[in-house]
Amino acid sequence: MRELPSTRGPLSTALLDLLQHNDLATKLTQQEHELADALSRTEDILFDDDLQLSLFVLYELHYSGFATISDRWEWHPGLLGLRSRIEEALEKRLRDGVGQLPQPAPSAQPVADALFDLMSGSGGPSVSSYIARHATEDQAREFLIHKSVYQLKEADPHTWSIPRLQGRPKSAMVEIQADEYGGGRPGLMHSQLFARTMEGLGLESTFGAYINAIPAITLASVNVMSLFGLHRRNRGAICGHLAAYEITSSIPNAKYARGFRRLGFTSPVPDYFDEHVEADAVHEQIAARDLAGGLIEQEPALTGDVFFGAATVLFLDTLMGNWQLVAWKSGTSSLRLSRKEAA
Amino acid sequence: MTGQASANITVCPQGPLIIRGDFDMLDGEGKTIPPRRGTVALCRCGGSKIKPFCDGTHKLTKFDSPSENEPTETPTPPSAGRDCRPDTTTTNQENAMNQAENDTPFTEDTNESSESDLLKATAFHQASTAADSSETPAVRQDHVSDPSLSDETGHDWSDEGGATEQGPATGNEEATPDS
Repeated sequence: MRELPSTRGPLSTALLDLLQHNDLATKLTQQEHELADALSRTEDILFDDDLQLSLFVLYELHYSGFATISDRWEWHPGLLGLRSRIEEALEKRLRDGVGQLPQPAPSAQPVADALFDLMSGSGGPSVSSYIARHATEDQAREFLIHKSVYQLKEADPHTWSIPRLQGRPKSAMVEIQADEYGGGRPGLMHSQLFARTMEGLGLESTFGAYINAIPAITLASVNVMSLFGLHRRNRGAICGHLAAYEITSSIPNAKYARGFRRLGFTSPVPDYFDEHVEADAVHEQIAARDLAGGLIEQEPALTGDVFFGAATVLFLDTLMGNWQLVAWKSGTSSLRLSRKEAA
Repeated sequence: MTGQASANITVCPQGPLIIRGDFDMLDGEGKTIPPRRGTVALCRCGGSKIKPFCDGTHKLTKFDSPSENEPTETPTPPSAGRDCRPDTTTTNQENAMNQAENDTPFTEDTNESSESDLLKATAFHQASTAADSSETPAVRQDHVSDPSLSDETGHDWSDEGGATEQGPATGNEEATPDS
């Protein structure tokens, strides 16, 4: 990202202040103090702007970083210590939230069946149905802004898992990710297709351009991918997460495409969604059977983690969908700031 | 994943055919159909709007291959909590082709969860499932905008809250027309 985002409370203020000094200070006394305060004060970490933004910034050091911040912060032991405490609280919140998980037999087809079954039970309000039939153009822009915090780096969090997999699940992950990155054809990375969709609606397509508008729950949905992707111990969860994303993609994306066409947009705006209808009908089969199923065949002890990763998708999608639709149906914005303020 | 052939086909239970390897796809006149990606999923249920490719519709139509009635089709072990759909695995006694009406709607909101946020979301959902027929212009426009402009049967979107040729969607549609 080009610039650091705006602060959202005492913790993010102390954290960004520290980063901006660029001196790799070893004592993070104030940040540790603010973190302890933030963790004890928070009502729900998933909706806590200060905590989610701080975690997002800490993770972003591992992705494209920040233009004004030293890359050496990435592996700073003090920052990793802060991060692990937020991660611990976030993971506990997710474990509490997802409830009981399926326990299929540890072979590929029963795992795939159980994943398809789990995801078909997704409850909560449907953003895709709303976009297809009711969203105004401004709401469609808001929808893209929410998505942009992941889609402009689409696939990257799951790519972390590749060196941690072997054999069949690794082949499956690489095959899916290669397609996500456009199969080697320049300009066809899914993140680039999404950028063109944003531009077609007059939005800025640089990663992070709207970060100050993104509410905590949307940041949480992206932070979770980094939590799963960056830790080897969560390799089951990141595979389950990807399978769940793929399984819940084709049909909603057909509806998003319909929504943007209803609003009068033509290629290249709906291209991103059209591509996902077709691509993810392939990916969901590979991800459920060869990736998740193949991993569980190799390591049956990861069954719980795979389904935990999948169930977090269901859990967070419901909360995010609710957040957006409650706002839109009451005629208000689902973003923290208006687009103009944020950009 | 095994075999020495240059291409292989995975028959996905209740799903598409996955073709992987070195293959050509030709239409009825022998012209090449660009696969657009290395591995493709071909529609097996007949419901896809992007044939010959799969678009996930088999999940809505409860497509079930007639050849999938071997005893290897072990039922998914029972699962609790968020796994809310009744058992949809098949047995060899079932008529595989026409069971859709016995199944629960695709995205019906029947999750049981102790999670208060989810309960709130569910309450929100239930409170807003009011009939949705007052917004005729938007719906008509929406139907016309369907990407494939297809009116073939078997894919009217009604299972997942979409409009049908008869008008606005009902089913699990939760969106209210007041925006």
